Amino acid sequence: MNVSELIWGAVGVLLTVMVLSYLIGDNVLFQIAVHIFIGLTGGYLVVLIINHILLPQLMTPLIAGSWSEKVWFIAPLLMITLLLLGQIPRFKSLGNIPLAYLVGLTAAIAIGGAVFGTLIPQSRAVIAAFDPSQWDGNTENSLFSILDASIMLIGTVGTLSYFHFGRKRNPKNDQEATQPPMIFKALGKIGQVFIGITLGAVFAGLFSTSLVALIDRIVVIGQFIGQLIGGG
Amino acid sequence: MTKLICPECGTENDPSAERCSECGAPLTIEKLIENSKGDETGGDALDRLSAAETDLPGLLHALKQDGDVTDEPGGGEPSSMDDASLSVSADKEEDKVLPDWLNRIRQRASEEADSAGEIIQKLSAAQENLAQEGSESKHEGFTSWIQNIQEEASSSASENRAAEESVSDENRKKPDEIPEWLNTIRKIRGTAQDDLKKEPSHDLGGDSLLQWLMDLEDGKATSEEIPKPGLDNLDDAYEEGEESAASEQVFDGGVTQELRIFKQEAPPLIVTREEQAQADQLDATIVDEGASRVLQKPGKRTSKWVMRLFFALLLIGSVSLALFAGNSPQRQDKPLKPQNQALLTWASEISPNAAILLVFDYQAGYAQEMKLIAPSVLKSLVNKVTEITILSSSVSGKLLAQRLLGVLEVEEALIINDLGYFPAASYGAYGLANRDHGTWPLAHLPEVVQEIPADGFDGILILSDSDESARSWVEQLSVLTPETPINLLLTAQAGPLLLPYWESGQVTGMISGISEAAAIEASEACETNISSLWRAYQTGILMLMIFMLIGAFFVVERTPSDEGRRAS
Repeated sequence: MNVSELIWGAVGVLLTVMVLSYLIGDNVLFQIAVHIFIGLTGGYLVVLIINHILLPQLMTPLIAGSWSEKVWFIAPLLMITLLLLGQIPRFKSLGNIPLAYLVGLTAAIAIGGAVFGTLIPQSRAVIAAFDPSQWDGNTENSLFSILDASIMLIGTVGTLSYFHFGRKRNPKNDQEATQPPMIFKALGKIGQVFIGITLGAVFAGLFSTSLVALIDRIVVIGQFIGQLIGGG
Repeated sequence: MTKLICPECGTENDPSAERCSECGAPLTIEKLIENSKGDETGGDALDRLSAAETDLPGLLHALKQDGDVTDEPGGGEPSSMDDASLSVSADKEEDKVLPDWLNRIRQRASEEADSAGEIIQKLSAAQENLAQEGSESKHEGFTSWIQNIQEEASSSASENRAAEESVSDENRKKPDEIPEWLNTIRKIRGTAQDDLKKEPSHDLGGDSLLQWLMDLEDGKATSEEIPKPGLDNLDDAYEEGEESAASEQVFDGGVTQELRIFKQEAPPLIVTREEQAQADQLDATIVDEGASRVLQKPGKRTSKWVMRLFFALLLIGSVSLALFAGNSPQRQDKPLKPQNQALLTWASEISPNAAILLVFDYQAGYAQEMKLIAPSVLKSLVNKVTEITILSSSVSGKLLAQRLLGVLEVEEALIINDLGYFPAASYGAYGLANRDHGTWPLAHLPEVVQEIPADGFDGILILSDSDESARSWVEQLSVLTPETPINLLLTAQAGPLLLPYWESGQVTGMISGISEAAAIEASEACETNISSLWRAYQTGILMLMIFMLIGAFFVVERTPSDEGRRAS
């Protein structure tokens, strides 16, 4: 183990212990470690954006490109300028223009992706599960496929029913709304079960991932201590 | 300079003199008016009127203070209480406008037999007789009237209004009872009176008090224009009908007063449902603020972090023991899941000239798990293809790619194209997918960007730790490039929510978590570190389950009612 490995290994062990000190509550060591990580991430992000986005994709074409190519970069340059001007209170309204452009574009892309990439394909998958052509000739497998498709359908409808909050107006009393239909209430209860199972699976996955990270840290610390003791 | 001329001897006297300085005769208003009739020179008459007007503000104030105090100087005997009231009210205008000095003259004349002239004494005697006769009838009428009010309390307000209207009509119908001095003033004003009558009195705005008096006499103006202290609101309320009013007339010592008795009624309280809810919430808040609370003792918090530290050390100790003690674990053959098998099949069947894109979309904290999951697939890829393209949508994606590919010990012949950093996954996927159809070639873009294959990629492998970010990639790429196989290498936390995309056919294959990676390692006989970590992983999972059970059975969260019960 050379000096560099020793130093950086010690720094790694020290930071790991500082983060684990949160077990006894919020303390100075934990806050120092968090500030170090946040500062490093921020600094690295700035350098990354400058080197990988601003310089190669904006400044270089503006400097070395032809006039026809430069025209294409007027729009992003204008947006950047407006966004910077938006930080000045007097020109705050100007900063809304690029933000509105970003919000609108993000919404368009996200909605398009959600509808055509998730909603329609997933609905189609639920329907296709009942397609007999998808089943094989084995009776046992066919029954399992029907059962699988039925559970999927009930789970889908139940989950959607759980998030159905619409109610009709009570004609006798404008102030009160009628109760949701019984079918929605019943399916909503079933949907709760599916939602609970889903969240439980996500929680188990999060637990598993965190445990792997803990094991990795223990391995690193153990190896560091072993190298210190073993001298190699 | 205004002078008072004695009606007896013609001597000029000071305006404030009550008796003539020469003969001692009283300087009454009647004599003065008679004197003014003989002298039609407008200058002196107007001067006298001006002098009289200077005293009018006090007169008007006295009028408001005295209310409806009147006497009956020469009218006929009222047939009933109402008639008496009406007649008295009709003549009260005269006394309202009489100056104080004239009232004092009258008072002295009534008290001292020799202080007034013969005519005044006769007039006073006649007035007293009439007042006495009227008072008797008024007493009788008053009693019956009170009884009527008690019997017909509900209709009293309307009766009073009708009575007032009749009074006003009576005033208008009795021009003959106008005091003589007012007629004199009218004559002095001459034809200007008609012109002034055409204009509303309120428009004059106090410029001509005399005009107001004339309007008052004609019924155009009312005494209500001068506000009474403390009674304004009552009059307004009476007009608006907000208060039920009963009216009674009181005769007290020759003075008839009309008193309005207002019965204040509480307005109806209308509370909406929302206001009631807010009021209830406010009440609950007030009650809650005053409720006794149990302060958490410092020792209790200390015990909490001690317990937390104890269980954490127990977990770390058990995992460390499983890692560093005992024999090397045996591999356990587990059946591969269909999605795992599909991914391995795709990786094994890839063409050597295929264009492969690796998307690094995980954070540095999950590098160890990804280092355990990805090598089995990446090794088969890099051993077949000659060129791969990497792209990162996480801040440290480039560094993580270098570290992961360094672990694989790839051959130097492998060409790695770095597309750089895409801050947003959805933007990156959308731009990448539409790059194939781009019609705006830019000459000075980075060289690696231009290295994107024109026909698109033959396969895309996404390494992600977030279901949202991976879903964005899948949503965009599966729609825009449906023919391109999309595969996922995910951490355990992202796997469950992305499994439906494999079942729907949008994703070709996927591996999620260390358990699936361990199964692949066992089936493929790959040399990774999973086998050495697997026992620690199982130990950790077991310990966490025990801790959760302990927490569920012994560390029950106390409800506020429990805290209150304990405090009591």
